[in-house]
Amino acid sequence: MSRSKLLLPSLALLAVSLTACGSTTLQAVPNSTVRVEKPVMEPGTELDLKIFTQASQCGNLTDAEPENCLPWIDRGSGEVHLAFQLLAGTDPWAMALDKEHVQVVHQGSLIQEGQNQQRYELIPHAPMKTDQLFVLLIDGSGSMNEGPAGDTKIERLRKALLLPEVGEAFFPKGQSTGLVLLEFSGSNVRPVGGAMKVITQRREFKQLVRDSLRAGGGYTNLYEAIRYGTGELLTDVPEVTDFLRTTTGAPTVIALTDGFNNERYDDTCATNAKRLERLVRHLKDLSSGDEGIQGRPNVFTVGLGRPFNRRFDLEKVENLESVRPGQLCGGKYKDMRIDGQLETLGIDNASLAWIAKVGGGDSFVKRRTDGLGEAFTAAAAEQYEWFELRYSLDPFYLRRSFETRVRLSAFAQAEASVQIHPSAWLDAPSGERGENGWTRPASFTRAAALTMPLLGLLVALSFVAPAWFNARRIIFGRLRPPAAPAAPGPEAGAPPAAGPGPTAAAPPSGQGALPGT
Amino acid sequence: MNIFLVPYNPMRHLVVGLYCAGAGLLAWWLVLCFVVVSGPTWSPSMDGAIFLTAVGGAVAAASVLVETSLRRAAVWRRLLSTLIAAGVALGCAFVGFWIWSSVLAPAVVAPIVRLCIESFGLFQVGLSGEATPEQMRGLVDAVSADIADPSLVSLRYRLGAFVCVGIATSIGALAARKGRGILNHLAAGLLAGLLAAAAWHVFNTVVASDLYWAGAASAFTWGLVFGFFAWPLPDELYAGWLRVLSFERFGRRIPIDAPDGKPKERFTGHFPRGLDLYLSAEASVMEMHLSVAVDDQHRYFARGLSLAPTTVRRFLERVDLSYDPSRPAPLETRLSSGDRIMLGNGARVAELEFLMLPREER
Repeated sequence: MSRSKLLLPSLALLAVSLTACGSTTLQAVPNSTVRVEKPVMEPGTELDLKIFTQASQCGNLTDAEPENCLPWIDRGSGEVHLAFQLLAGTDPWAMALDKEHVQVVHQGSLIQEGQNQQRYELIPHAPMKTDQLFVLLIDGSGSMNEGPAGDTKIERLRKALLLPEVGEAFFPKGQSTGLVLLEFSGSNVRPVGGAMKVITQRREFKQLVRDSLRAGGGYTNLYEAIRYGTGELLTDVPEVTDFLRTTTGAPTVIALTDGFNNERYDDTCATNAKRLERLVRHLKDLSSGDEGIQGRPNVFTVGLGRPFNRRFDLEKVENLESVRPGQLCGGKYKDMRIDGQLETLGIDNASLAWIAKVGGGDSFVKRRTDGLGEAFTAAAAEQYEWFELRYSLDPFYLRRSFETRVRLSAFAQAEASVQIHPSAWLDAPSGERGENGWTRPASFTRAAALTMPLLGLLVALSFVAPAWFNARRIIFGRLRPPAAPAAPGPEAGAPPAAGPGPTAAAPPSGQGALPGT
Repeated sequence: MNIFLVPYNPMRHLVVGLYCAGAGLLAWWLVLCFVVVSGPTWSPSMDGAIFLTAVGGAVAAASVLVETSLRRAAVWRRLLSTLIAAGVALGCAFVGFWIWSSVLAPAVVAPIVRLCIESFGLFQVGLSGEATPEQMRGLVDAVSADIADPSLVSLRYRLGAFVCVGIATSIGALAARKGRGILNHLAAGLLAGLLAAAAWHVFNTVVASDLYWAGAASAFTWGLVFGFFAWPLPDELYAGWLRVLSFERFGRRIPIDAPDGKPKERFTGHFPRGLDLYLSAEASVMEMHLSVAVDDQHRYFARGLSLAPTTVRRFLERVDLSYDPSRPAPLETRLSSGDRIMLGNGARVAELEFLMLPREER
């Protein structure tokens, strides 16, 4: 078969083969060999969790570059980077998330920091200005006056509230936030300073804390105070409702106590269990109300002291709406009186964590002033428009398509997953490791930095053969004429010119040519 | 590329491999550039086909282009041969990849793996003790799913694709060479596919965990091995020369081969008429002292035609070719490039060298 006859079928075969490639519904991630499917948001959640997969989505975000907004997989280091945003309906819902608030599930396995080379990090981006109301519920029971003179619990609290960073967190520059400072003891919840007022100035807040924050005495009616702060206060108190009409963010309720919920002298953990159950139901009702997540207060709890139930793990509680006494205090202490007995052993960290979990917030237990300051700052933390999630695991688990599921574990329900398909044959250059230990996408020009030197090496190697050949001939003296012979000859004393050609000892006529060539 | 840059030494065998390796590397890089910059427009199951066929096609084309360039073929002929090699290799590689992934892997590999699991107890990783029938079925199903999964990075289920496309590469080069050297080419394609798969596996498991270096190493190995084995540089591209090294007539040289490639014998001595290379009698050269011949298989021989001393010297070896009247034929020895031939004795000795130069060096 002639070559031209072979050429046509081969070209036809090639065309058919390329046509057979077909197209795909997968989305290619720029600057990588990875494809992603359209992310799937879990239906029926309070917030929508939107994972970004297209460069056009990043364009709508503040402070977003494709390299930190689009999915990125570095198989060399076993890293997966994703970016997501929380949406209430179609509007971005800013949140102050930490990595403890987000769960990452890789192909059905929960990523856990420190286990099997796993680690993860949540990087917030684009702080958003949200106008919101803070409600600060301070325990005013008699036990707050305990402690050495000048360093009583109430003094420590006062110092914490007067810390500059706490003031900055509650009243950030450029935002119209308000704060209601309440004190609870006995069956009363009273505004500090006597008059119900929404404080909007940092100076006013400091003055109120410095001059009017006192612990009067009485029992610690914590649950009722929280019920009031998340219910009646927000719906029935005109000063508060007027302010809420001007805000865009959900109110944040921060409750601080130094002991247990204690309404009567004979209260025990067992009696508190029923009360906590009622409070939990109340908070659940709030979250399932018509107003949705925008009208739902986030409840943070702060314990001042040391935790009573150190072994308590809320993750092991299957049903948050059902509280058993043993869960709060352990079987040994469930019937021990709180007043004068249990409250001397620590603070009720279990119910504080419980309330925060159901209330969509976080719980802190601190003993010192700076710790309290950190807790308040975290509760009033800056909220962000979108988040970058990075996790790493053994690279072996990135050797085939995988699903990454992201879910909120606090504040609200939100969950989404994305199916990621790395190429089984090719990878872009590995990422550059930054100072924080995470890699970031490297420029594709790095591929040229590999290819060009290799090609150069090949070219250089291909010249090794002639170089070797010539060097060998030079070393063995094949290229220079030898010295003239000692005996006088026809051409003695006159070395011939190098290279071919007749010398002084010229051959007879006709010699030196190539007969028969 | 031209033959003047490929002198006759052992490195010449490597040069074609190096050029093909360069072509493979470039093909890998271009595919990667396309995928990374513009994004793949095909489904993930075609990733392997695109990568392997690009490399296979480029390597086959490079092998043929190198040959036609060294043979100084006309430009149109070089292009046509290269296109034929690339086209046939690409087409066959696509078909080969499809045959592997759609037919051979499910129909041959899966039953073999199943047999290994069920009869020999292999691949039972993670199972403790005697596996129950349910566990065995689960294992078999998992293996079947692995075989069908185009995203899985695994040598076990990809080796066949490398081999199929390796053979397709040799078919492409064979088509352009009109079927010359079938065994050479098939063996080279098979070996190239196997070693490229090995390089790909080593670079994505031992050296690194990603497929960046693996792709480059695989393409490089593919070209190097195929270029080295498929078309070794033939001796017919070179011709033997006799060159004078002694003082008188230093540098004078004559080719041994006839222009038509037929066997030829050249004569050296001081007889003034009819000899191919005249050397002065004052340098102890006899009238008819030495002949150098080439046979039809491009082998070169030196024959001593004189009673005067005639010696061929090479590394650690010295062959005396002086004529022995008691023998019916002159003594002869094979010549290889770089051998020195000493004619005569005493103070004035004529020295010649035998060397191989490109045939075009006339």
